[in-house]
Amino acid sequence: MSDSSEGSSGIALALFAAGPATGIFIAAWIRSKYRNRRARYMPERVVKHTITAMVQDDTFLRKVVSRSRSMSGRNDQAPAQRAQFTRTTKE
Amino acid sequence: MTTEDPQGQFLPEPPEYVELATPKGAADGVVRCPKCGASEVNYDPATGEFRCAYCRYAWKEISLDEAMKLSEGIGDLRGTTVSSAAVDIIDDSALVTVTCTGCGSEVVIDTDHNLRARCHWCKHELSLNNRIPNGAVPDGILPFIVTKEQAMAYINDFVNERKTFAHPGFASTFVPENVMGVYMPYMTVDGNVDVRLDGEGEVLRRTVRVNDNQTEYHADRFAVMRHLSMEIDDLIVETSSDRANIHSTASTNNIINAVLPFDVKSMVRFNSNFLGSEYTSERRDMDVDAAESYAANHFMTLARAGAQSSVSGYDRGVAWTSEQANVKGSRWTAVLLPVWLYGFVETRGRRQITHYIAVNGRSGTTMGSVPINRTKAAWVAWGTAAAISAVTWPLAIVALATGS
Repeated sequence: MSDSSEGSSGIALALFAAGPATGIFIAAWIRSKYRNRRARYMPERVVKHTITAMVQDDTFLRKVVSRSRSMSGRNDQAPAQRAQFTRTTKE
Repeated sequence: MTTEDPQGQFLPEPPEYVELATPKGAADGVVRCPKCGASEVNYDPATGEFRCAYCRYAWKEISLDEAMKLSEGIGDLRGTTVSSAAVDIIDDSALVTVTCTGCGSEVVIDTDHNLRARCHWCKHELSLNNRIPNGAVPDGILPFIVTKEQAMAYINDFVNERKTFAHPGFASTFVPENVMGVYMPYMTVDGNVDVRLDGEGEVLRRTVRVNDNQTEYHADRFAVMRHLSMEIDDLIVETSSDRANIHSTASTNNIINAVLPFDVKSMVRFNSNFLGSEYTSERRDMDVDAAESYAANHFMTLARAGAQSSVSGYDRGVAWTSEQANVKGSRWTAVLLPVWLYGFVETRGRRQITHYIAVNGRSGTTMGSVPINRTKAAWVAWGTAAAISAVTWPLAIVALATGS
């Protein structure tokens, strides 16, 4: 297949998707604006906390090759999302 | 529980927490004006003072943060320290009988809804100001500053921005005057905490363009560990089991959760005169043990946010896989916090969902859940989709035809 036919099929796909994507976007926008399901207390922004010490240890593991822009399982930008393993102990 | 000592005698099990004494408040029963002795006392939100209805003498309650030094010594906390009114609930009964110190008769107060009652015989106001075994009386309270009129205006503005797709039942019955001032039970938590985070992070080294549509990302992967020691001041945790689950499908508890935080440094010693006749209160039904998991969850969130700047070099991100919190010390104080609440119950088949619009009674922060007219929203969303498709699909077919 030539480059031009690949380009036009890409444009065609975008044109096919434009209508349904707009519908999904409007439905999601209404739900978000009216229901505010993600609204929550954000202690990370509003609670006074002081980090008195931090120990860091970073060890090289291996080289990787990926087709994805960011690493799989990335959760560093969602601090309220808990990791697979959590444990709390008390002294 | 008991333990056996070396002599074979049974000794009481030591408490799992240290009790921090809350300053004694006004005595239970009739609260009298310190100047003239009248029992008709009103709270003025504008000044934050009590005022005697007869002699107009005004006075303020003591600041709990100063009196109990709640902002100090967080780094020295060890074990669990619990203020007087935050100790475990030992009696679940909502009805409490108070002896009127005016005439001696017995008056029952339903602590599920209020902490005051008027004596039927001598008409004195009776109030509960000190710890009772059912958890209804807190250590501190943060009085309302936002008035009912202001709360109504905030709610009205919030709903006006969301009228187009509002559920018809909600829109037709919306009356901002129905907003209720509720003192809701929380605990403030100070924490001396260590958190260890483990995961993996990736640093991008180069990108290779494979073809027009695909790129390969070559990266170095690292094992990442962060161990943080943290001092946390005045985390707020729900202590009503009905409200603590913010993922409830029966009520939009996350809305009430979202109007946090409050300026808890300004809380004062509890006095039931703050409730007046305008506000109701909810009773705490969770002990520290039950609330600890929520606090630990927030501690981990704080640690994750605190570690964020140290992993900014991992431009492909970090996948945290393990979070371990060690709570070296914590300090818990029971408090009632002011929330203006407007509720609407939506019925969907057999399911009912309570939607709230909540206004923070101190800052005016407003958040809400407005039920949606789903039919209208679907028509607009999919009508727009169909209209756009009517234009773009023929163009897509033309693009395909000319490209092949």
